[in-house]
Amino acid sequence: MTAMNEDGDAPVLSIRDLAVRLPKGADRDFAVQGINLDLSQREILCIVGETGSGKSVTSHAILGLLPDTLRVARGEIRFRGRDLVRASADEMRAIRGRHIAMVFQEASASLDPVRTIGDQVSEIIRAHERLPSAEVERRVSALLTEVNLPDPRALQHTYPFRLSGGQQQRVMIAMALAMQPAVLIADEPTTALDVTTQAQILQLIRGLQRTRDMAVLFVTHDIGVVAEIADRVVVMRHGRIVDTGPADAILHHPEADYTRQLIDAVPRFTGAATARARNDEVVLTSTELTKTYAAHSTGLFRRRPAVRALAGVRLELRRGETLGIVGESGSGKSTLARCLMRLTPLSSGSFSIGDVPFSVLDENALRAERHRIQMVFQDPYASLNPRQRVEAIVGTGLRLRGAGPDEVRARVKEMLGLVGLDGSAMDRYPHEFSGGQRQRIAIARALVLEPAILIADEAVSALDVSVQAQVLDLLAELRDRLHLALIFITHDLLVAAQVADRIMVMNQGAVVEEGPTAEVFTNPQDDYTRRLLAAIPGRDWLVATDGPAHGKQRPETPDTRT
Amino acid sequence: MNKGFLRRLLTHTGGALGLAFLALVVLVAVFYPMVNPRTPWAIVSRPFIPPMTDGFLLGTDMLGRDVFVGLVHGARFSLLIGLLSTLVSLGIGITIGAVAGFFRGWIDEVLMRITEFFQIIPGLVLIMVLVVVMGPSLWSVIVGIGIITWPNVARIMRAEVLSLRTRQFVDAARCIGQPPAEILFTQVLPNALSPVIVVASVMVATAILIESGLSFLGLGDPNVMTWGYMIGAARPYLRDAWTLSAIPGVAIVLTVLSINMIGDSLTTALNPRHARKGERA
Repeated sequence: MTAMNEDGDAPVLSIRDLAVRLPKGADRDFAVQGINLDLSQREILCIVGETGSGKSVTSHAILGLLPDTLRVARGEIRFRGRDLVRASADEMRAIRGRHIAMVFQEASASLDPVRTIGDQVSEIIRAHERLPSAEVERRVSALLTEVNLPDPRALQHTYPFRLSGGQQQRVMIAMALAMQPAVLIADEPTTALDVTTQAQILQLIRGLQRTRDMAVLFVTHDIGVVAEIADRVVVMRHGRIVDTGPADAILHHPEADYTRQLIDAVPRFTGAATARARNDEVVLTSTELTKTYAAHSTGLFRRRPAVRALAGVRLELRRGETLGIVGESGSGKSTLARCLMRLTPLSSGSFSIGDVPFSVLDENALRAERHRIQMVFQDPYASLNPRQRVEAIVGTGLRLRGAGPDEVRARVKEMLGLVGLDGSAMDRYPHEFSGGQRQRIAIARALVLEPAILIADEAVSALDVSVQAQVLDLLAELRDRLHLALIFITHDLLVAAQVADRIMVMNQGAVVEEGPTAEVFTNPQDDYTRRLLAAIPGRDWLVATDGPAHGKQRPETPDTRT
Repeated sequence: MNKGFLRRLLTHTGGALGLAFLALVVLVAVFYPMVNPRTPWAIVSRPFIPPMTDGFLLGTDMLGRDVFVGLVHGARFSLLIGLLSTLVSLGIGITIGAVAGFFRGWIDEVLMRITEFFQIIPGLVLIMVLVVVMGPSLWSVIVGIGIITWPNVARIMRAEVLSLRTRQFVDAARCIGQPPAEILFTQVLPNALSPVIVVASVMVATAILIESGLSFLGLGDPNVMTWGYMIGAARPYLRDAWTLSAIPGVAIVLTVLSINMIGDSLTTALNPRHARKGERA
């Protein structure tokens, strides 16, 4: 790597041979090692990598924000010639916020809930400069305007909880920009946001970087985001830099094997898309389903209006078919799943599975029929009981249906094989498995009951992109082999495009558009659908690289423990 | 509970010290009476022999009874009462807390009002009434202590269960058709017990203190030599023979302290985050 980039600028920040040691007993000695990178004055450098790649450790090391258990073992981090690794606490305090600022993933966790927005933004200015308060207020107002927040004057006096997630992240960015820093470090700043909000925040950061002439170090796991925003890219894996180069080269002509694997694992528009199973038997029919959360009083006299989580959703599903339900947070898609599972009661409407009137069964009858519809939950770390062995987790459902211990063991073993796990997994506890493996266990638990319908509620969104691809393949394969009807709920349109035959787009509890996947993606009828599609990060790049050369060569990387 | 857990407990200095002292007390309490089967009530010499004289390690009391033998027998019963009354308290508290938290609704309302009823009555007054009504005996003291200490357990248990019942793995258990009672026992309870175990360790210490208080007031089992009884009986002679009160007092302080230290390190040792790190294969 050269110290100069094409523009001939000297790097504002350069890292040389950085190594951060992990505490004893970790799965490797160093969190990161041999890190060399340069950030020039006018660029957005993306560090991209999967869980455990060391991308966050690298970015936190720059500002000396590593947890106590991690120590910089060697190397230097030079900012305008100063070595930050050896800087004193006082020196670092003067640099943080003023010269190098940071934006974190969870804006809601970074903002103080009991202080006003204005108070928190002005604190940064006051910490570094003595100014009359009118001047501070003027600057805060200007900052809030700059990040496109509405009505900055009134906003200064409100509290964080009144803002949406996207607005909170804008406030965090305003705070980061308060002292006109030379470098902005953004650690997954859009990961917790909806796709349309994410697109706005990315646009904002891009715009600010240009107008303010800042250097931006952007950490992300999402290649789409990289395509959207990066000038240069650094790819990390297992604590080392495995690839680096200009964004165009990395994204369009990846040379390193791992980079190619990462890029190929990104779901493409041309996924399933072929309309299947048109004439198969109908397994799920419903009338208009609604769910209203009753008004509950917030004070003695005030009443909150009732919330309509589902506003008349009608479903029909055939065997062998995959229905993709997409929508942003609060669209009602998870409520729909919970109502179908009868974890949450419907307000009105009914549905049947086959000829069983599932929505009206009483508790006892319901328990006997629950095997017909099963669900894979979002978070594989929360959906498995940490104190049960895999055999009990997967086998309990069978035991409840009257299988003897030997039969349970045999069936569990067979099922684990089907989801690609070794039979020895049976006697282990969930914490011994990686996220992807846990999700396989969750799938085995659902499928061992031979359901007619499987609901996957954001079943891959907690997983790294390569693992995500494997789990998606597994679900599609099992659907075909077991002739399942699959309801795939996701916020990620690309994932939906990849697996679904039919797409249902939901917004505020209602279905705004429904149709075959290819049609919805190529010719969206509804405005909201169009907005969602336009907001997919890296959309242009995805379309450009969506050729036969990329389509079907997903590498069969083993699901390594992470 | 497994080896990893024990190792984590022992790596805490406080926990290790507490465990060592408690083990010593238990060993002496269990084995000394086998070596020397004399009853602690036997008059063995003249009264008020000071400690370390005439072959009596801790001297004799106002009636000429061996203080060391009394102390050993006191340890037996104080620890026994501490353990058994904690079990009684856990039994009531875990059941009520788990049922209230898991089933919610009117059951929760009723059970929590009952719990509050017990919480607002001063404990020592209630137990004095209970023991007097039931007649002072080992069992009435044990049951009495259990009755005045269970509300704490119930509240902690309920809070744990309330948070656990909304977890995804509980939803998953409902989805596969597990009946509610079975969900409570296989999914919720095993995950809810860690904080209760920590509280229970401290409750053993509390129970020893309560029993000592009762015996001091003359409400203990008159046939049983306990530390509280020894302090109470020696009270009139505090100015002439202060060691008679101080020796069992120090025994109580050290035992309670060591149990509390064990409890403290249990909190850390049972923390699932530490567990995950240490036990990962």
